[in-house]
Amino acid sequence: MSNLQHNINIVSAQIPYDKDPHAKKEYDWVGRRGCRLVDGFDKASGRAIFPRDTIVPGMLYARVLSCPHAHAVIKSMDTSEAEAMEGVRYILRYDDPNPAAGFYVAQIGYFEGELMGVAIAADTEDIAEEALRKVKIEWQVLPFALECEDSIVEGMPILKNFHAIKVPGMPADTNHFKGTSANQYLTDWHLPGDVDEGFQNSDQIVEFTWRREENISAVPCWASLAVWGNMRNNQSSEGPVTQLYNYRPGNFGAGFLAEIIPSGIAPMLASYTGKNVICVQTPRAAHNCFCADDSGTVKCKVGFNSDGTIVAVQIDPWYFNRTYQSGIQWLHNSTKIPNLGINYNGAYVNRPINLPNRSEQRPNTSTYDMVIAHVAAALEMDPSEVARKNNGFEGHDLEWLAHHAEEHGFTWVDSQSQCINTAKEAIDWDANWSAKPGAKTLPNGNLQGLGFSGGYLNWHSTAFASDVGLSLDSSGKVHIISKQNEYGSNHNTTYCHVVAEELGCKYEDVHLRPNHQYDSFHLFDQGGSGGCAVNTHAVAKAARVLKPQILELACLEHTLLPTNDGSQELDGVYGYDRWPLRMTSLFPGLNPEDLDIKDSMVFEKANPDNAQPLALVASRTGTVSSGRHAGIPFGFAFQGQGIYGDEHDRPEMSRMCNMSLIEVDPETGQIIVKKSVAVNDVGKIIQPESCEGQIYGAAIMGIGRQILEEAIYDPATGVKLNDNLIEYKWPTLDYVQTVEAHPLENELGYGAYGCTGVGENQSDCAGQSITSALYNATGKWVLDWPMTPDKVLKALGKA
Amino acid sequence: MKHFDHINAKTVEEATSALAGGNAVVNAGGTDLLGTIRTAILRDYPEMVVNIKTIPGIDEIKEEGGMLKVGACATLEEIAKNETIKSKYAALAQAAYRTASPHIRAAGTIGGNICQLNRCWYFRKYDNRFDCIRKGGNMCYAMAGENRYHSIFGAVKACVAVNPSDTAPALVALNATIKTSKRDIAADDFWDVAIPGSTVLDDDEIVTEIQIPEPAGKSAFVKFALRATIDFPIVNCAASIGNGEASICLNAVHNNPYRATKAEEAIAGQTIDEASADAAGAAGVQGATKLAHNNYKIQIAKTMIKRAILGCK
Repeated sequence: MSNLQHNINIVSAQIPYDKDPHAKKEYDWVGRRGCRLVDGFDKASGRAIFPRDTIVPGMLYARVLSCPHAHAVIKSMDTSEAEAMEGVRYILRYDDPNPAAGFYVAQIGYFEGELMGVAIAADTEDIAEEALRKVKIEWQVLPFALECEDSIVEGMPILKNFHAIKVPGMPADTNHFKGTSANQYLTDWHLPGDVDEGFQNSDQIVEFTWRREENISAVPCWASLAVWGNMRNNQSSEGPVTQLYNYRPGNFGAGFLAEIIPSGIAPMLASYTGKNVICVQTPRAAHNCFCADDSGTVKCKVGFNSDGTIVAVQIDPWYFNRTYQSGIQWLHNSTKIPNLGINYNGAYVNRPINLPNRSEQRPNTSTYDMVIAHVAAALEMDPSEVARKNNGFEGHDLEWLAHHAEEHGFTWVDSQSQCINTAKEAIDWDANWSAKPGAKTLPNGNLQGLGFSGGYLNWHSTAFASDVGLSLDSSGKVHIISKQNEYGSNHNTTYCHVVAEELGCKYEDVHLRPNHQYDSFHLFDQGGSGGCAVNTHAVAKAARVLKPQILELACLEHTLLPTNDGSQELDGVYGYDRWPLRMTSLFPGLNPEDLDIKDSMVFEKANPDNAQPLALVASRTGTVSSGRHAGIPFGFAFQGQGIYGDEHDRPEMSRMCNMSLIEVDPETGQIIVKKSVAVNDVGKIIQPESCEGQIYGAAIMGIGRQILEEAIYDPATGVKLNDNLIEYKWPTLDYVQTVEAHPLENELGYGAYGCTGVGENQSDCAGQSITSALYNATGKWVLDWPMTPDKVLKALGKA
Repeated sequence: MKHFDHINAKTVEEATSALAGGNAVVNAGGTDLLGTIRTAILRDYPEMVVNIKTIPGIDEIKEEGGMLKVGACATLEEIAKNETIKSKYAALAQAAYRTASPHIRAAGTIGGNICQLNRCWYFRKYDNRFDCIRKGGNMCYAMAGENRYHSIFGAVKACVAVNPSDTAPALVALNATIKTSKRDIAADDFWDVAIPGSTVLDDDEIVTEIQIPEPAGKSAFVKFALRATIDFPIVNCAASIGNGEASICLNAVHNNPYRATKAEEAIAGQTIDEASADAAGAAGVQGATKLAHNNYKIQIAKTMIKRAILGCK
């Protein structure tokens, strides 16, 4: 068996199907408010060090060419003028003898703004930039396609090669891919039923098409640092930077971006120059290089009965480039719809590389929410009731889910109903809802609408694994030894809550040591909140390994007698041969199982007054000049979540929903989001402020993406026109007037204590709630997203 | 960013003298200039930046002889918060308040706001990717390209970029005079399509002060943008109505601030109400012509006129 196969088997063996048996009724630290964020001050004060901030001795700065064309090949390049500039140290060209160069600085640019062609390392960033301007390039501009239909016409060059990850089984001679998405959901799992038969058995059928314009990806780390001799970049350079140059622990990213363009350029330049190199990108590059993976057009046909029961759904998506999600998955995983079909299509186009790091489930949530919304509209029903009526799992109904839950140790709760009820109360649904669209005109002339979206939470897990070490130092502090990239989910603080809970120590006695070169051999799962949920499992497990060692240490009784034969390790050097060393138990006559820990005090369970500080216990560790003699307590744990992270036979039981109240200005087409209620059944809240913060942020992001965000291209050249923070419309924090976060705790997740992840949920679904609300307000569907004023006015017949 | 020479001018004469040397640019708040330089959108890179914030008294705001006098380097924040301006010259205070974001208002000046370059995304694309008419080229890429934010009142010199200033329409509606180092210019005559600029200023001429006569009636400013903060206008409008006269100016609908004369005629002497304002709005967009992607702006311009008028009620 290969090591790889062995590791996969380990991962598989760790998949949780049962509720975490360590879930408790009451917690000391899990869920406690007011704990200082581990890295909050550093981030708020600007003291946190990110790769872009890094300055190390002898460092060179590198810049990379941005392709000025949507599709073009370099015919020739003259770098002589740049080479002659003072301060230029190395010019890495596409035709470098090292074949890797052609990957990182490629000869062909497949989209405008792609980093390619040439990278220059220089003494300063300004010199590198100026040198780039002096590079003379003869381009051959090639045909480009921004839309799928333009990409698959005869004579269009093949575009797919620029994707770092290939779709398995895709023919080499076409830009058209079909029948598979990157997660292989469709090829591995079979959808239920027969859609044609389902449509025949339906009372009504609706058909509709939506289109989602490209959104840029979340901006990843836009400086990649390579310490010479360490031939990878940020993630692995972080340790040496910390150790060699005495930086504070930082917030270095990389993750799954580590090996793709342009992160590999800095290590190459470091190897060529023998210097530390930071490859610095511009805001433009940050905007241009990656996009979210959910853009394209989806045709949808839905068959349903007059009571709101959905009988069959068929979707025909055409996605730009490719998506990591199919679009059908949520209907499969969170409904009992018996007949589902998908004809998955897409084409490579001259747009940036897709990354699944921003609301990757939106293809699935869009389908789910639009199906529910259109059925409800056709029947003039409350959409949340349609969702409730069709709730289930892979064709199974709630009774099946309840049975599964109880079989696996969960206490069954109809999570979706609870989410819906909570949201309805918070948004005063009954007072604001009108089943007839366009029925509510307010005194200010605006049209009022109420919308619903929902689905399940699958972010209790990812397809990766986690390992972590925990150690107790001699001062009584507990150290979490592992590292995770900065994803904004406040994971560090969350892990400290878990350790404090499991060990019984004070929160402030837990520390994170993520960036030390020599003890950061552990690596957390690198996912965001889903990874955080996986990692909490590992952290809790490690704490459960560590705690018995601490209690054993408290009871340890040991005597070291000096010997005369020189064999005793304490003999001689420190003069210990003059008297015997005796370590007596701190709890004479008691065994470790008689003890427990609370608030960093080790105490006798039967007599809590008999207590000793954890720090005193910890002081017995190590072998140092004071004569202490005991091993350092250390716990290690591993947690895997499966091949998909979302296994076929592990049903999702936690649900979420969003209800939004909007006004539509019929004279300008502006959508004003008055209130957005976000309800997530997160299973168990571990760090409340982080949990709520992620819900707030995700709801605003999701709404912004539905109303504002889009990449805009020049049709004649394929050049992106809004690659800056002025013209690309990220929502500002005041964009939604009120966001209410309502996390529920039904402990139906497979994470530690029954938790799920929370980060992306609302960013996936909140936007569709606005589409639903816009229909409710106006009686018009705007399914060309984002729903900008021009489209709203057009729907209203005013433009 | 390439290196350039920088001087802190102590007098208007020192500034204009430096500018006359050629390939020099004025810097006040710097909120437009620095981005323009950093992203290298123009053909040429300035060899010198002349800072005029160091000229004593050039940022004063005062009322003298029935006239508001605002120094060219008064910040947008100071204007937005000034009680006199808020009460008597409301359109200007409201326009300053709706500009950009608090950080930018704290640095950006009114002189810079009225002299800023246009925001056409072809013009603004990095590294002079589109060498358009406004840079001395021979083509307007927006005319047949992506023009959702562009002119609805035709082109000037074959360019359909719009003037993005928020304070400009307020100054026109308030009948302001722009005092420069060389002359006094009525706000109506201050803007023009230049290469690459947006005003009639000579290369060695700077704005020193803006003078506004106390309006007879009320004034108001309204703005439509995708986001409440940060964004440049899709359409904005200022109106000043009193003594049976109306002065109404749209912006972001044309190369220069666009005097909505038909709307002025329609509302002058009328009682301001929903119907009269609506009719004036409709009149104000007569003659508007859509490009391929900006038809919606006509409806929004009509609404902005209506709401600016209602703001003067």
